[in-house]
Parts: sequence; C-alpha cells; structure tokens
Amino acid sequence: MNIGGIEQGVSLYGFDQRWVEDPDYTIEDCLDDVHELGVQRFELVGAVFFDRYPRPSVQEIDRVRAAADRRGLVPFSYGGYADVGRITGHEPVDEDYILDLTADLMTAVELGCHHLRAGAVPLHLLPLAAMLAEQYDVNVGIEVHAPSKPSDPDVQQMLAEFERIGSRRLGFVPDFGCFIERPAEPALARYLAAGADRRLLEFVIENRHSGMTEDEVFARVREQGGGQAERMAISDFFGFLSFGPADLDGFATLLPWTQYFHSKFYHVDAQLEDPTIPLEKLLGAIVASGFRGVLMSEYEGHAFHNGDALEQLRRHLLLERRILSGGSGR
Amino acid sequence: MTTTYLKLPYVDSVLRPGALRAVVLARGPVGFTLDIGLNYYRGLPLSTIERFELTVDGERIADHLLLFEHDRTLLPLSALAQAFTEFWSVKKPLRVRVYQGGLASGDHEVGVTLVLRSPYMRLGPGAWGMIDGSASRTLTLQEAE
Repeated sequence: MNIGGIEQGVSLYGFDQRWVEDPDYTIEDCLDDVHELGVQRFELVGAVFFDRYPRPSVQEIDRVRAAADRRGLVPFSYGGYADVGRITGHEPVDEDYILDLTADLMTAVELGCHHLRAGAVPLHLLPLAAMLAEQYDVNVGIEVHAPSKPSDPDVQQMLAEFERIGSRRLGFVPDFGCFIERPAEPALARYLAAGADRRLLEFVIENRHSGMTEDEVFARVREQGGGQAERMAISDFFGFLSFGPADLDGFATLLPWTQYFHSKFYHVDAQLEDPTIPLEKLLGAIVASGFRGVLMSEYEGHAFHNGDALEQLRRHLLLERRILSGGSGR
Repeated sequence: MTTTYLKLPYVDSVLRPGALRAVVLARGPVGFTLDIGLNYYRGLPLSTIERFELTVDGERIADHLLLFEHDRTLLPLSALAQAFTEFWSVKKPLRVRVYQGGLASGDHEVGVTLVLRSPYMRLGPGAWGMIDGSASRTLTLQEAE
C-alpha cells in the first residue's frame, strides 16, 4: 500500500521465532504470511533464511524468487552482514569487509533486490561501496541501530562522509529501535509476574533519566515498599533494556540521506497503541522531509517469545496507515 | 550454566525430542548421533564455536570422540575453529557422531555446553559478542536408522 509516496513493506526477520522453532515452516509459508498482510515488498535477511551464507546456493535463491513471483511479492531489500569475525583469531582487515559487501551485493542482485542493508563498512571503504553499488545497481544502506543514536559522533561522521562522496547510492537505514522511550509491555509483564508493583515500575521508568543512579532509584523504590522484582527491573532498565528520550533532532539529520526505514517495533496493543516508540513523531518527520520510499515493518517482539508475529505485524501496519493517513497514532 | 552471554529464548530448539539416535553397524551398536540446533536468530559459521562440551547422563564425552557432520563433511572438534566456510543454518541441525560403544535404550540426560562468538559484533581488538547456545534435556534414544 502506497500512502503519499510511502510504501509499506515487511521484513521477514519478524517471523524469526517460527522460522527457527518450526521445522515445517518454509520460505513459501513465510511469504504466504507476507501476502496475507497485504503488502508487496519484503526484506530477506540472508544469514537467517539461507542454509548457505554469505553465498547462498542458486537453488535457494531460485526458490525465493519463484515463491515471491507466485504471490506477486517483490524482494525489495536484502539484509546482509559483515561477518568479519568468522576467521578465528584474525583481526579483520579491509579485504574481510570488501568480501562480505561484495558477496551480499551479488546475492542482492540474484534476488532482484535494489537495496542492501549492508553490514559494517569502514568509512574509508565507503567510496568503494558507492562504486560497487553503482556497478551492481544495488543501493547500499548502513543501518543505524540501537544502542547507537543518530546524533552519535560516528553516525554523524558517516553522514558527513556520505555528503562528501555525494553518491545517492549510499545512505542510512534508520532502525526505529533507536527511539525506544519506555520498555514494551511484554517486558514489563515479566516483572509483574515476579511480583513487581506496576506503580513502582512506572516510577522507575519516569526516573530512569532523572540523573539518579541505579542505587538511588532502588533506594527510592524500597522506601515505597518495592523489593527484588523491582530491583530486577531497575537493573535491566539501566542495562540491556535501555531506553530514553528519542533522538528526534538527530533523526531529522539522517532523513536526506536515508535509503529506507526499518520500522522496528515490539508490541502494538489491540487498540493499536504502542507507547514504546514515538511512531507518530517519526512518521511525521519522514513525511515532512518529502521522503518517498519504503517503510519496512520489522517485528522484534519475538524476544518475548509470544508467537504472535503475524497479528503484531497486522496491527503495526494498520497503526502506520492510520498515522500516515492523518489519523491519530501517538 | 550461568553466563552473561546472550541467550535467546529458542533453547527448546537446541535439543529436540528426536535428537538422540542409536548407531548400529554390521556387528552391533557402536554409539549414537545427536542433532543440535542453534539457539540464535540467524545461522553462524562453525568456526565461531568457541566452546563445546557434551555430557550424557552426567558423563563427559571425551573430545576426541566427537565427530561433527556438516553437509557430508566430517570434522573433529579440533578443526571447528578453522571451519569458517561451513555455515550452520538455523534450519539445519548440526549432527555430532559419537562412537563410544552405544547407549542403553530409554531416556538419557543430555547436556550440551555451547559458546559461540558473534562474527559481526566486534567489541574491540580480539573481543566479540558471545552467544550461549547451551541446553540440557532428557531425550529418549531413537532406534538406529
């Protein structure tokens, strides 16, 4: 569906739980799910979906192409990696990055994709990447992914390098997981099940970026009757479940050099609300920038192991449509 | 196994119910095969296996008895670190062939300690993100094929 020049797509990565756990779930089943969601464009991540990587077999590629054709689907982007740590004990050098970029570009061409979400590319190899992108007719996108933020110096340095090189073959793939403002509801469910008080969890979320240390937050929670379940939440929120004010100003700087978006999400409720990521503000900025291209829904709630990818993607696509059509999101 | 390594919630895919199978050759039982799945969201080169240990009913299987089968290639444990072109896909379990004389029929407590490095997650010189792919499960020995 195309809304004002923005086309929705789905990353097959969202079906990861079923892909890994169900031996009978095939690429054809996966593309049936995409078709059922009513979108045409999809992203396939090579290291997830192929038995051989970084160079899948011809048979594997033919199978994806045939299944996509039969369903009227379009392989839009190919998700690559720079697996530069594959050689044990070897510190990566330029040729390692060049090999993986080349392999992924070759596969993208074979799949019929004109966009690659590339793995890491060192700054000094970006001119080479631009040349290869031109030659292969596949744009190279560098993902900006949590825990990075758009305003981070290394991201801004890359932006400056894109501007200096001046090739429209290069750009960013901003991942909305960079803009998590609070933990997703299924994450909170774990602490609630362990006996945490929701009111105290909200207190922790509100004060995560108040300047208080982890210990100070726990001291305040303990004063209010909190215990070990809240302590677990505090530890996670200061650690791997990090969140914070969304870097929307930084996001705006990336927009002129964005190839397409990973509209990452974790949970949309039955009322089509997602307080985790400020989707309305992000989409507002995208529309205001005049961007025309693809918004790739990328479900990552399989981290919570709920087996609900299809329903979650359905809700997320509806939420995006509602916002893009001028309705209320958040 | 308690670690701070990344551990995804696909642990039940590591040792599936039919994963343990007897091997019987011309003159009788010689050992077993064990099919091991990845507890990760994507496949990884075999060279990223940094640590592998197998126990059956609490007994450690000697490293020299572990033969890994991948796409009809047989590799000893000591060769895995060099197997950077062998890709272990999330859809295709890695088979370990062990000729230790055979297992009794029935249930066995199988434990796999598996640590892999994430080849795209470089944290610094010589430092990579690490993945805990370990699992243990009671498996019923399947009849030889």
